[in-house]
Formats: sequence, structure tokens, C-alpha cells
Amino acid sequence: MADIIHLGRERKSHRLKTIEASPCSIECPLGTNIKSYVSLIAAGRFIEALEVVRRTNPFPGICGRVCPHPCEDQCLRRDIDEAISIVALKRFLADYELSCSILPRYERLNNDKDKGKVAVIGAGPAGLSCAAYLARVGYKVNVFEALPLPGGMMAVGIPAYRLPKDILRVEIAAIEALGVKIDLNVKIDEQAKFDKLVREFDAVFIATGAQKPRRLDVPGEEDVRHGLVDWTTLLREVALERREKPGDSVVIVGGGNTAVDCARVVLRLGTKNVQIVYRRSREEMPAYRNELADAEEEGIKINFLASPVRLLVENGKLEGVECMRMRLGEKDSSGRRRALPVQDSRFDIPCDAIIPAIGQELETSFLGAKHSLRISGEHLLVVDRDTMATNQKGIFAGGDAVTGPASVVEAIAAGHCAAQSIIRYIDGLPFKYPPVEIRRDLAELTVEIPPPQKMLRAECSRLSAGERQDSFDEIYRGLTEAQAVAEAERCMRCGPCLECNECVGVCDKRQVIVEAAGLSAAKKLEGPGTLVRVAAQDFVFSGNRAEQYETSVFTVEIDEHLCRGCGLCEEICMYRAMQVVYRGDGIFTANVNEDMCRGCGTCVAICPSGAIKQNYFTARRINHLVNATLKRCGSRFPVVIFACRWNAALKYESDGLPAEIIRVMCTGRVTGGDILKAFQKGAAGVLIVGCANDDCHYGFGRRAADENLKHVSDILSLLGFGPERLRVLQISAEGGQELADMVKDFLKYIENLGDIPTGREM
Amino acid sequence: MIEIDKLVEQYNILDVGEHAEKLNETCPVAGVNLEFSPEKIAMLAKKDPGALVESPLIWECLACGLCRQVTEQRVDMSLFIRNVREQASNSGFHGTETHGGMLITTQRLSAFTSANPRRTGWINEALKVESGKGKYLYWVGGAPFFDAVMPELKPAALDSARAAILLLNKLGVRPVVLENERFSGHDLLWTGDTKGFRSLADQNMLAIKNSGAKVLIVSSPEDYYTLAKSYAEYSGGLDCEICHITEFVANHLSELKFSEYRQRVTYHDPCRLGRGMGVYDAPREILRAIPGVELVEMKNTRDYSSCCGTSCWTNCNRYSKLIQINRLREAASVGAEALVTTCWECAIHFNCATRPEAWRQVFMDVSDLTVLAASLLQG
Repeated sequence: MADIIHLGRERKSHRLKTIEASPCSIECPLGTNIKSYVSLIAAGRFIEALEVVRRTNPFPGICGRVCPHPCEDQCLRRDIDEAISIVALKRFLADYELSCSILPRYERLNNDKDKGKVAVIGAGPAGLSCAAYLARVGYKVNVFEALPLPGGMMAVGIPAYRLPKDILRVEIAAIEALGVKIDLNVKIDEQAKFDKLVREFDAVFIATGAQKPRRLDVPGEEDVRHGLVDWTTLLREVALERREKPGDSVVIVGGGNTAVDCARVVLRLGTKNVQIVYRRSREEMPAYRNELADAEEEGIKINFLASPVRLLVENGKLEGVECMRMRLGEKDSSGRRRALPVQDSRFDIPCDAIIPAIGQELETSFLGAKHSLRISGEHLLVVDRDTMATNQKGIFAGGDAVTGPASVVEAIAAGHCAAQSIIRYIDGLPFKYPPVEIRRDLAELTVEIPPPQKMLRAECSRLSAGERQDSFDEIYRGLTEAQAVAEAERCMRCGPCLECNECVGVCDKRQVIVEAAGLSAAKKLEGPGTLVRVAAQDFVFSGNRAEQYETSVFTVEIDEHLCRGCGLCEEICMYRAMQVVYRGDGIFTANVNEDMCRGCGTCVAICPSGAIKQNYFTARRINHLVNATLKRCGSRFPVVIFACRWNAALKYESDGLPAEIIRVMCTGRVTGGDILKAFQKGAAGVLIVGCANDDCHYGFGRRAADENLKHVSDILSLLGFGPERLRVLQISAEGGQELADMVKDFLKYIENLGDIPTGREM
Repeated sequence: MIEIDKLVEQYNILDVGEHAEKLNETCPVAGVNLEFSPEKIAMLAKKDPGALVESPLIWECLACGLCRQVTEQRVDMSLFIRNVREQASNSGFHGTETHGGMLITTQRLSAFTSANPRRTGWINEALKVESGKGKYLYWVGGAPFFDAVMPELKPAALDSARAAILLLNKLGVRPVVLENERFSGHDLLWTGDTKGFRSLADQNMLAIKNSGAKVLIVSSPEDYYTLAKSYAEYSGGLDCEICHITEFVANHLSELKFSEYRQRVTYHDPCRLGRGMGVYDAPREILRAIPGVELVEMKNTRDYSSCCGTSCWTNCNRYSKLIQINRLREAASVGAEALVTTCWECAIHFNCATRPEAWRQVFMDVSDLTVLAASLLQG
């Protein structure tokens, strides 16, 4: 998690760099157009956003969970507060699609058929993305997978609590729907089988991954018959629902994500004592920070600066591991500090199982003894990294088999790269072309727009350490729709076009632009840019006011600066005139649909922040009416009556009684403040006169008033005023005399109570 | 009425210029409201004091005291604002009252009525309290009123007051709870109603004196600050020891035993308790004493703690909400499962920021330390 950054910024103008592509997209190994799909999310167009993602990435749901998101490291929003949570947005899209039960579908990129036959060995991310790409342009692809399920390391290497299996199933099913044939349980493990593929297909793509775990290479390793566990087997067995704990006290060696995954899986299998041994310090550990923190929270111990030197074995059974303390030396060629042994620092860790997770290499047995493919010193296939071609014609390779353990997104990139080369190879085109150079310094432009407000990135909620200890349920929950839209709005849309919409502002053909931006009047609040929104709004509200309802005189208005978007008005308004809408920059405020508003004013009384103003019956006017009424009463015991103007005691005459009526549209409009202020100004009592419940002109205003006035009663009682000084009456339209009688009663009652003992300083 | 330029000098407001960049960046309001900055207030105070008094800027300021912290105790923006608001209020300029003015009007009524408050109805049989006289006095503050106006927001202020008494009982203390306690006057003082504040202070000081209390234990940080500092500033102060409930409990931790509670929490320092009264450690000591609780710190913590976004039931708006959401996200970003605070009002504000459910921006439990501690008491 990035720290909260308080960098200096100019207050008047905000500098944005325009570069050939957005920095996030440049950094993405797939070149995904992040700005485009994030903008679509901000506009609420989720399915279209997902289509943009799928143009370059067949696994949005998977990458939305496990991608190391190098894009976020480049996000320019970090200069203001924090990077956009791009990875969480991608996941949101996939989850959204799944929750709508929409099956993911790819568009074919052309109508070609039978362009050629390609064999892919291995149904992991590299193999499947290569297959998907080829299938979309008309190739017949056959994928051969040794395991009983597709997905490669995504299926049997990443535990379910990070990547639930149904996500994988859906995304692979979409690739199969393109016509890709996946043959499971087919091992290409002999030279004869491999050679047959080379003969029968136009091209072969090797994406077998690297499953052979590296050995510890320490004394004792050969003697162990029980207790030396191979991590690929462990994770695979768990993925295939064969769950047996490897021991009661388990040591994992390594510092990568695999080591952390193994430790957390072992913990979930029921082992209480799990320890990771890593030869460098926390700083150098390649595992993701949050995964590491989560693991430690679950109770996994990490023994830094330690390296195994010998396994302690008794009759073939592992009894422990002897380790040596390490210290950090100079940086090595990889840029990490070298781990050097500390003299005389040996110590034992007792354990009954050890899992080395220090890297993998390629299983090459299928190539046979006499193959001519180049293999590197690290036991990986050697290819031309620009084309993924091996030294043998028609054979391509990519993914972990070439790079060693790497991320899903890198494997997908390799798959796509290989697919493009395969197409050129089969078409007989030269497939080596110069790499495209991206210019990052195209221009710099200063735009006079205010800098965005500080708004920290959205955080996904997650299961607590206790809840997840013995469960393989997914730990992180995705963003909600509201969170996703707000998060996407944080994006500053860096890139060649700033989408600042200045052009819309200066162009007198605004409607054309608004329409071109795909914004109908109804969608006015969903557009990606403020000015487009403003322009659209102009068109909506230019109607003739005089044609609106008679009651429109009393409709309410929202002060958007005061509104907190708490939604209480939306809850209370039965006319659905109030709706909380998203205004951009993480701000939600209520919006009044004036056509729906009937002007009862009930929402005014419920609003906690004073953001709603009722036309005509403003707070100021009511205040003034109260003052005037009290002045006219001229009694020692003046009474203020707030009454509904529709159906309550319409023929009431005060006839000299010190009790005058202030008519409002509905008693629901009377706020607690109005009543308390009447007392403050010297009223001895307050009457609220509403219509009978079933006679309420607005249907719900009267009930809302009852609810609201309960609070005021409680307050009066706490203050010691006696709640009886406030009475709520229900009187029908004809009940003028009835009210007069009640007022007389009430006056007698409060005269008995006496003055409110105030110093009248108020 | 004191002239604005004298106030400017007294509180070193012109020094804002020298620290402008840093102040504008740390100010929680300036971060979310681009129309606002401490620098703007300082400029206006210098160029056009009359306009400052009428300006909404003085009501947008949270008076959270962070300016003082950032400038090494030089620029006292919060006291400056308090004094300017007094002038504004006298000239008829006010902030926007929340809840239709219900809570602030209640306090004005409380200041000028001699009606006898009836505010101890919430004390149930499980709580042991004294009425009348005693060595210890527990100050309830506005809790019964807050709960009456916002019964839907949890944790409820009265739950916290009940929890405080439970903790005190457990330590063998039966505190006096005054039936005629009034609002402390914090909100009136900080919205410019000095007359109302003085009236409340006089009545409260008399009531406390009559109770014979030697130790006054307070839950609300705002009340604690007011009773301890503002009363001293206006009327010479109270003749007894005043402490916050967390200080009292932290001093007697060895006598309390808590059940295990597995949660990773972060602690939000309320402005008046932290920067106001310098109480940072007591709440943390209590949290550390609860087995299973893991305390993580946010980036802006202790004397640099961010404000909860609004105070005095005035000017609570979209910017307040952004501040609150940012604070809750800050808690989430350090992996906390709950944000714990000792201020009812902070808790109310944070909880309000998560509404409405359909547009929820952040998921973070907000808990009250006193309620948490009391609910885990053993034996």
C-alpha cells in the first residue's frame, strides 16, 4: 500500500503530461487500454468496459485477482494521493458479468476459416491465450493438457483463497466456445508423441510451464523417504480436492509467492506450526507485500536471513533441518543484495516436513534425448524474445517454460506474442519485425483545470484472520458497484487526449458533441467528463417552467455543496423525486426530479445537513412567521400552531386566542429546529395540527411528522420543559371549531404549568 | 469586541504565509475543498477583516488544531477562528446548522432556562451511581440528546456513557451523575455564542461545586477540553481534578481483566483529546491490555491525526463526508478491521459517512473504546 502522499501541487493550474499512451498502458505487458475501460466504468458502461479488457486479456477475472499490477506503479494520480486501484476495477468487471449471469463472449477478429492447424502443449495462461488469439482469427487450435483440468498454474498453482475455481472455469469456457479444443489427461511425454505433433500441425507452441521444483542441494536430501514434499504436488493435490496435511511442523524454504502460498495452504490443511525460511531479509522478499502481511496475520512465522545447510534424517524420516544464519552483502547482478553465510551460526529447526519452494525448471523428458532445441543453463527453453520462436522452424515456446516462474500477465503476453508470430509464420511472412518504440515524452501541456480533490483509493474488504484460517474461501471481496464507479472517476485519463472537454466548452455545437459522446439526456450524469455533463444538463433544464405543475412553486432544491448524499431524503420521499446520484470525484449528492416533486417539504425536515431548501417555505420565512406570530399574540402564554394547509382545521379562527396558525404544505415539513426555536423565542407551547392519517394529502407526510416529532418530545423532556408543551393533533378539514376548543384546553393546561423558566437571553 | 488585526497578531496568523505550502497540504479541508485553504483565511484577515467575518470560510474551518501542530505551535488558527466566529455571530453571520438546528438550539435553550433537566433516565439497574454528593463525578455530556436525535446511528453515545459507568463500578467507583448537568458549552463557544457558553459554564461550575466532587471523569473529548481549558480561560476553572475516562481506566489497568478479542484495530485520535488535551497513550494502553487486539497505526496519527470532518453541529457537508471517507480508507489501508475512537461525535460522523448502503464507499467498523472495553470485562 502506497503511503498517503502529500506532494506539492499548484493550486491554480494542474500539469498533466501528454504522452503517446497512458503510462499505465505502457507499463502493462499486454498494453491494455486502461484509460478507456476505466472511463467506461465511470460512465457505468460495465459490459463495454469488459469488452475493452478482453481485447488484450482473456482472463480479466483472474488478472483482477492475481496480477502484480505494474500499471498502478506508473499511475500519475500518485502525485495527488494514491494510484487508481486498476486491478480491483478489472476484477469488478468480471465479477459484475458473472453476477449478471452473462456468459463471457469474444468477438471474432475476422471471418476467416481454416487458416491452419496449431498444436499447443499446456493449457496454462500462455497456452490458452495463444490458443484464444489464434482461434479469433480463424485458426484451428488443439491444446494438450497432462492434468485432468485446464488452467495450468492458475488451476493447480494458485490456491483457491486467492483465485476461486469457478472464475477460472468461466473464463476457460469462453475460450472453448471460440472452438479451441482442449484435450485433458494427454501427456506429451515421449519424443515420438512430440514428433507426431510437429508432423501433423502447421506449428507447435510449447507452453508446458516449469513444474520440476528445484532441489535444495544439501546433504541429507537423498536420504529422506518421508517428509520431503514437492510443492507442485502439494498445491496440485489440494487443487484436486485431495487434502492431507504434510506434517505437524512444516518448514517452507523460499521467499517468493509460491513459498507464501505453500505456507498458507499447509496452515489451512490443519498444520499449526508453519514456518518460512528465507535467506535474505524482508526487503528483498519477492512475494507480494499484502500476501506476506496476510500470511503473517494468519500466524505463519518467517525466519529471515536463514538458509538450510543439511536435512536431519533418522531412518528415512525427516527430523529437522539444520540452518545457517545469513547476512546481506553487496548487490548481485539481479540488483538484490547477496546473502552471505555467517560463521559458526548453525542452528536446528525441528520439523517433520520440508517444502523447498526455491524455483522451478522445465521438464524436458518429452523432447527425448536427441532433441535439437536450445536449453539454457537454467534448464529453460531458449527463444527469440521478440517472436517466441525457438531455434527449430515451426516450434514456438513461451510462458514459464521460457522465463521460469513468472506472473500470469507475462504468460498471457508471451502467448499473444507467439500467436502473432505463428500467424506470420504460417502465412509465410517474415515474422521478425522491429520492436515498436514508445515515446514517452511527446509533449507537456499545462491546462487550467483545478487539480482533483484528494480521495484515497478504494480498499476491498476481506475476511478476518480468524475466518480464513481453516478455509479456502476467497479472502478479498471485490468492489461494490458504487465503489467501482467512484474509483474509476479518480482516473485522470492521462494520455494523448486529456478528455478535459475544453473543446466542448468552446464549441457552439454542443449538442452535437454531447450526442457524439454517446450521452442521451437521460444519461447526463454518467458521462466521463464534467463539461459534457454540464452541456447535457443545459439541454434538459431549458424547458418552460410555466408549463410545470402548479405545485412546482413549492418544490425543493438541493445545495450540492451542503449535501452529503446520505440518502435519507431518497428513503422518505414516496414520490421518488429524490435520488442520490454520482457527481464525480467521489461525491454523491441528492438530485431532485422536479417533475416528480410535489412540494410537501418532508425531505427538508429529514435532511441532516440542511442541504434541502423548499421554495417559498424557506427556513428563513418560517423563522419570520414564528417571530411575527409571537409578536401578534402579545400574551404571557403564546402558542404557535404549525398546520397542514390541505386537510386540517381549515376554518379555524383564532378569535382573540393567543394561538395563531402557521400554514405549511405538510406537517412533515416542520423541523425539530423550527419547534425548538419557537420555544427559544418565547412560545409557551407548540401545536402541530395535521390531517387525519388516512386523509394525508401526500400519503406519507403525516407519518413522517410523527416520527420526527418524537425526537423533539424526547429533547423537551430531557431539558425539563415537559414534553406536554408540544402536542400533535389530528384534525379533519372541517374541524375548525374542534381545534379552537382544543386550543382553549391547551392554553388552560400550559397556564397551569406556568412560564417556561427562562432568562429570555436567547 | 476585539479588532481582527489584534487577533491576527495574537495568534500569529500572518505566519501562515511562511508555512503556506505545508499548511495547505496538511489541512484536511483544503485537501477536499479546493475553495478553502488556511492561506486564504490569512490573506482575507490581512486584506479585508470585514469580509472575513462575513465569509463562509470561517465556518468551513474545523478548528482542529492541525495548523498549530504543523507550524510548531506558532499559528493558532483554531483559537483565531473561535474569536472571529464570536464577532461573526454577534453581527448575525452563522454557519449552516445541521439537523434543522435542533441540537444547537437545544444547547441555547439549555443555557438560558432554569427548568430542571431530567436527564438520567438512561441509567439502568445494572449501573451503580450516587445522586447528590460524592468524591467522583461522571460527566455525561450531550449523550442523551444525541441518541434522541439520531437513534439509528451505532455505537450509541449513551451506550458509551453506560459502559464508562460499568468500568468505574468495576474499579470500585460509584460516581455521582448530576440530574441538573447542562451542556458543557463547547458547541456554543465554538460557534461564537459566548454569552450562552458563559451561562452554561456558570451553572455547571456551581453544580459541580455543590456535588463536592474531587475527581471529575469525562467521556466526551469536547467536554473534557471545555471543562478543563475553556472554563479556566473564562471563569478561573474548576476546583477539582479532571480526567478523561480512558486516563482513569488506564491508570487502573492492573485491576481489570479483559476477555480475548481477536481483531486488528486502529485508533483515531479525536482532535480535542489528542491535540487539545495531549492524551494519546491512555486509549492505546487500554487497547493493548485487551488480549488478541492488534493495534496498528494510521499514517496520520497522534498529534497529526486527521479530524473527523465536522464539529459543533454546524457545516456538515460533502467535504466533511470526503474527509470521513478518506479517514476510513486510511484505516483500511493499514489493514485495520475496525477504527476505534473515544469520541461519540467522531463515531457518529464516521458512521454517517457510510450511508446510504446502496452507495457505500467504504467498509470499516467504527467502535467506541469504552463500549469495547466494558463489553470485554471479565468477572
